[in-house]
Amino acid sequence: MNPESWFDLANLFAMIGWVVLVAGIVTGHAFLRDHLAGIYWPLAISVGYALTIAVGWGRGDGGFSSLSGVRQLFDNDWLLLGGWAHYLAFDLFVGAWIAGETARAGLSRLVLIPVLPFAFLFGPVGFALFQAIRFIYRGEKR
Amino acid sequence: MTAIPLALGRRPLLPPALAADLARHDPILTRFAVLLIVLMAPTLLALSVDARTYNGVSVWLKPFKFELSLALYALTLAVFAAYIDEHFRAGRPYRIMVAIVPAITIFNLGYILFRAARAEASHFNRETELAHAIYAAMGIGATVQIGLAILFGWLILRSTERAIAAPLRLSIGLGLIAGALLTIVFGGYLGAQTSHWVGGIQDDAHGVPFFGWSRTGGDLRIAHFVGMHAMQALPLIGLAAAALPARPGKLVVVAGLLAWIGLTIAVFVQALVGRPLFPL
Repeated sequence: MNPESWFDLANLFAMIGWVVLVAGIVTGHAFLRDHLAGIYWPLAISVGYALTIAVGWGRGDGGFSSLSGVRQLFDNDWLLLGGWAHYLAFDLFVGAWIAGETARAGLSRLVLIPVLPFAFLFGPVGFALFQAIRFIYRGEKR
Repeated sequence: MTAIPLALGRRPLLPPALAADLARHDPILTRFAVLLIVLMAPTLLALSVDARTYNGVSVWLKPFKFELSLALYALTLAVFAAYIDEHFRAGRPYRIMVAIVPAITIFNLGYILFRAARAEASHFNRETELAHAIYAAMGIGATVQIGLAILFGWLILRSTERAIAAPLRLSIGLGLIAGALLTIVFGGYLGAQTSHWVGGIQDDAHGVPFFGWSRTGGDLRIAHFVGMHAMQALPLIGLAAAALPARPGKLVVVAGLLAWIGLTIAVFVQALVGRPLFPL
């Protein structure tokens, strides 16, 4: 399989992970939310990531010390795939963490309606939005 | 839990009655105001390093002004919440009301910041269907958000739980209601136009510093500003009128309200005919 096909698979796999996360949130099953979506799924993607790095590392130019260096790094499709897998794994991890923290902080799950889509599409923005809401409601049971 | 310092060591900073009332501020709205004030710091930083302008002034000036204004609004509601019945504040309807403020603000301010970062317009931007739809949504959101002040004002007027001077209670309640209504009317009119200018040089660089109000033509923002700040101005009048006995004190407050409404209408009409408030 080539990187493009692996990319499609990775996207599909991550998407299912998010569906598992939403299922966990809606049903209230902490296992689905915190373990299956929150740990095992990102873990699986992490294994895939490690493989792409193993295949692609050192096969081209580039490095982490400049923006153009990173662009060169990503000229290698396997490393680009790795970068994408990195993002998929951690955005899902953070999304699940946010959902778990919402429950642990006693916040309403309604908070996740604006927050989780941002976490899905623009990870750090969802993270920042969640932190803002958590700060505003600190110490209160909503 | 109170976050406002009411005493410095053993010396009270405020008279006990006022301190007790401040301690009953709404903690959620207060923390939200703090968040907005904190946001002003990176905005100010952006203002100093980003050379891009819009309407002749830094792209980050508008977000900065909105952060300041919305923080003041949240703080105003937070402080006056002290005069709403404790029983109501413990209930669901109040918690929903309070949640609406950060929810709408984050949406509106988020969009303003997004557009500012791109040196594009947020308000009056009807260039695409999406921009137009979001602008309309902002207007509805802002109306709902300021409409909450009417509810707050009404709840305060009918509450007798906290013992404050009648003129002060009246000024707070009327200030919130009038401030909200004036904002909805004059802000609403402003929002329906294509810009805040009526004639004159149409950029903020030639206007009043910081506010940007036109000095060469009419500027509809002034009436929006004056109307809004009835919420703070009237209670200040009420604070002074509280020194009087109830009846004359309340009359002073009502007179102040009418004067403030008159002032708002006056600056509105002035803008409408294309005259600046502070001519060059």
